[in-house]
Amino acid sequence: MGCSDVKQFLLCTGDVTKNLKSGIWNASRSVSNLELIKALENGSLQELKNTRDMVDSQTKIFVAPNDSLQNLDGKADDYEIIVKLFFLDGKNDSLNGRRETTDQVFFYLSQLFGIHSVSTLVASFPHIVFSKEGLNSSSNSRVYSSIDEVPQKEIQSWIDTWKILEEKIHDGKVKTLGVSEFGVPELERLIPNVEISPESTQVNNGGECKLPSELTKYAEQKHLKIFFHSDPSILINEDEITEVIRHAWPNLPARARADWVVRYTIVSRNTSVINRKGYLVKASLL
Amino acid sequence: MGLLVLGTPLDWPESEKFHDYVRENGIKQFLHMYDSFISKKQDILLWGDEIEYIVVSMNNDQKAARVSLRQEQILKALGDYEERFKHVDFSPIYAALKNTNCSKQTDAILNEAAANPAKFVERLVKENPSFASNNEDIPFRAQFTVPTFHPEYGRYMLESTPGAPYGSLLKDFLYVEHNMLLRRKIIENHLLSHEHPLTITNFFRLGTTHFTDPETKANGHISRSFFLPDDIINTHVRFPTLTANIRQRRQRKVAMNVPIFFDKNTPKPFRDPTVPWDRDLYPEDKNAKEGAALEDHIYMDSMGFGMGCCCLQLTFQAKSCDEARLLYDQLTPITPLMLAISAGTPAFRGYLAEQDCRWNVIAGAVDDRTKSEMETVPKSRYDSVDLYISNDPRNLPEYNDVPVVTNEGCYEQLIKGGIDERLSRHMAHIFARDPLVIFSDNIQQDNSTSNGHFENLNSTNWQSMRFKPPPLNSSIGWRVEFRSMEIQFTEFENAAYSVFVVMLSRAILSFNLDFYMPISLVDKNMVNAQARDAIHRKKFWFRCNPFSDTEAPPERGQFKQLTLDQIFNGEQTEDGFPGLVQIVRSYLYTCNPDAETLCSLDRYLRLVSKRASGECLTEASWIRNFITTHPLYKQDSVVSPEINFDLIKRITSIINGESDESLFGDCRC
Repeated sequence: MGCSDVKQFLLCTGDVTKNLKSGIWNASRSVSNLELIKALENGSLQELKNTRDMVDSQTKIFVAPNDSLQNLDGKADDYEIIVKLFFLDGKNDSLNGRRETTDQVFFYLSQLFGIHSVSTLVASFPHIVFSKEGLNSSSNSRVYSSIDEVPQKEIQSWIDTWKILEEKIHDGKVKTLGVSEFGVPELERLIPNVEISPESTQVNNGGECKLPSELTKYAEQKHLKIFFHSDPSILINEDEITEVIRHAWPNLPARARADWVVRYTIVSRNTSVINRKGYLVKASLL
Repeated sequence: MGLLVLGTPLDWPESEKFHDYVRENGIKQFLHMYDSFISKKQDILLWGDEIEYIVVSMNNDQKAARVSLRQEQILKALGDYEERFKHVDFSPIYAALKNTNCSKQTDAILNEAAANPAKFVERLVKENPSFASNNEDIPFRAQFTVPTFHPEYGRYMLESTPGAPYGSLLKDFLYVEHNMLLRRKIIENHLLSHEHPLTITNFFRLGTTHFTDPETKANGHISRSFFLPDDIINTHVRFPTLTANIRQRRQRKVAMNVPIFFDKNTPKPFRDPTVPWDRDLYPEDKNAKEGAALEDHIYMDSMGFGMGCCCLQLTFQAKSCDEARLLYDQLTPITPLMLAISAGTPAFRGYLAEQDCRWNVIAGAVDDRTKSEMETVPKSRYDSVDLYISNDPRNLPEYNDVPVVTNEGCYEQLIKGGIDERLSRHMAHIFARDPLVIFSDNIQQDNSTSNGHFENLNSTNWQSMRFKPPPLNSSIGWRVEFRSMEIQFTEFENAAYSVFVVMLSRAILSFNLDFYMPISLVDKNMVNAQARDAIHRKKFWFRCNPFSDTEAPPERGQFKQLTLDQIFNGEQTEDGFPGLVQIVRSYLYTCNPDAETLCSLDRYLRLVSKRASGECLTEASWIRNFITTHPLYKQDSVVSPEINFDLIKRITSIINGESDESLFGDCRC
């Protein structure tokens, strides 16, 4: 396999809950990607040579060395498995791209962990933030400061992507769907146009406990649960991902960009003990 | 407080003949339980709390606060309430409580629920059909069942527990505070108007003059105390028997000496004028002047000073015997830390003390060791854990580094019965004590259906953690009990501390945390935990790196001394220990609870954090502060009846919702 063939990378952080240097201990209500970055940087990722036909010759897989990729102990039903899928393909929101991403995610979950279905899949779409305070149309080209700025094409891509996710429900691979950083304006564009409503939205409102009444009223009407999260709108930037891959593979010929990230969290329903939590990052050469 | 069996207890000389019999059969019963249940894997976290109350009788005209001795009548009334409402599904009440943020509304709901839950639930479900639960049978969980009430040692004490366990979801933890509030409300409903149930560790003037309602005299033959009348002992025959047998076994009265807090006007040396040095009612009266009562100390001479204290205890069910043993071990180093931040006992027998906790006083109050055993048996039967018991490879033999007395016969019996070495040693240590109360009609037991002899000994070893095998004829599994915490004034605090410990236990299992350290260091921590203002003045031994990652360099010495602030809130250095609060917070956030649950539980974490940092006062510091800044305080360490009255009045208003930023910061709302 020649180096010039390699175009894609899959990075597996392994379980982030078991060591002192993990970014999990930075957990707070403030926006941060430390948990992911520390896991990638501290993980001393090594190339997985025996990829068991998981990937083609154009993709390299890197894993955390001490983390044996294990299947779940016991019955799948005993666990609550939450997967947050960050679509990072800012420039590439083609339907095919989204479908490929979603299929890849479930393929890797099953190959790496023996997970065939998840309790909740939360979709994170690019460019959308819940808390629009302090944003104006020129402040940040990467997020929209109001729903009116979002092009119809992009709104349509939410709906089309959602249909792909709904298929996963029909296939028995997902029980419920959730969405990230969607407030009332975004939800009003999504919900009327989809078959299966999201069961939840997760927002970052700067650490406040009090939620805007507009959202809580809407959520009550639509039977939506509200969660908090602290993921930044750009989960991992080009510099960060390039640095990580180069560290694991010094022969990296060019810069890289992250296409998608999955965070998986597995908790035992009966004992509330966390089984594991980690990330999968898919990146491409620029 | 042990199990209440009906019957006639043997007097001490009679009962001595049966000690070995009880031990041998207790071990047989343990072996039977072990074999029956070793393969039991409950797979479910269930847990519960126990809260104890002191019923105070207030006389506003006299400005006097006393302990009310009406326990028997109160418990009868509470028992009737339990019986009357045992078939009511309480869950609509919790649904109503969940829906309100306003404290007036909460209070109104609790009042109706306490008065007549059956009628209230009927009305609630009619008005809110969504509150009805769809269960045919009432699930055996705290939010569905009537709470239960129990007697305790003191005739002025009550104990309450949720009627069924709390569940395993983070959402279930939201029921804890409401359940505790309901329990207090029910008790209040069954008291006279001048009586109040207070969750304070001790009654500050217990053992002074005129401290009981009705009036009593300290001249009883059971405890033979200078200060505590026998009338403060629960009338059930077990309690006076325990008291008398401990005194008889050790051939002298119990003697607890707590150093007095020296204030500006406290006489130095301090020879307590309230000790009746020359009383001559009983042979034991001379103990005091023969050295039992130390100079510069507050002398206490009766079991009631210890077992008449209230505390907060938690029991949780583990997945299996192995997990119970692991939790027992991992929580043992945590017991002194939670004791320190829950400290609530700065005063004894009307004097301010140079310590903030009750632990060593209870240790002394039931210490049945004879004079010669003081040389050979290191600890009282009430004291901190002596042995780690898990077979986890991280449990290194050198951690069990304190001398431990075991009963050889029991040890052999256990090993022959197939029990592994560590658990055998633990049980043989528990069984090294004498059974303190044997009922004549309970000597003959069928070891395959009864565990009375086993419980006789297991329940009269009062350690900071207790290991509890599954009871017979029940689906309950292997459990551990966390016993070191002092009780707090309000349900908010008691719920916060309880939920914190339960979440910490989940974090330990989730993150494979390793808090092992030599028992001798845990013991040192236990001593420091009780010190006056330990938060600011003491350091505690702690494992340098409780994480299991193999890459971390082995630290020199492996254990270091940290402040409670550092242990709970982190070392604030790169790669320093993140702190127990942060670890629990990371656990909480990772479990992804909904926004409301997360915010509710987070306020518990903030309280624990602020208590450890000193930003919020511990109750001991708060009480001490109240006393020393009271206008009538004479800077002589004396807690006078007037100060006592005002203090209790203030505590009662705080319980009823009055705010106090020094205690709670902004966490309680």
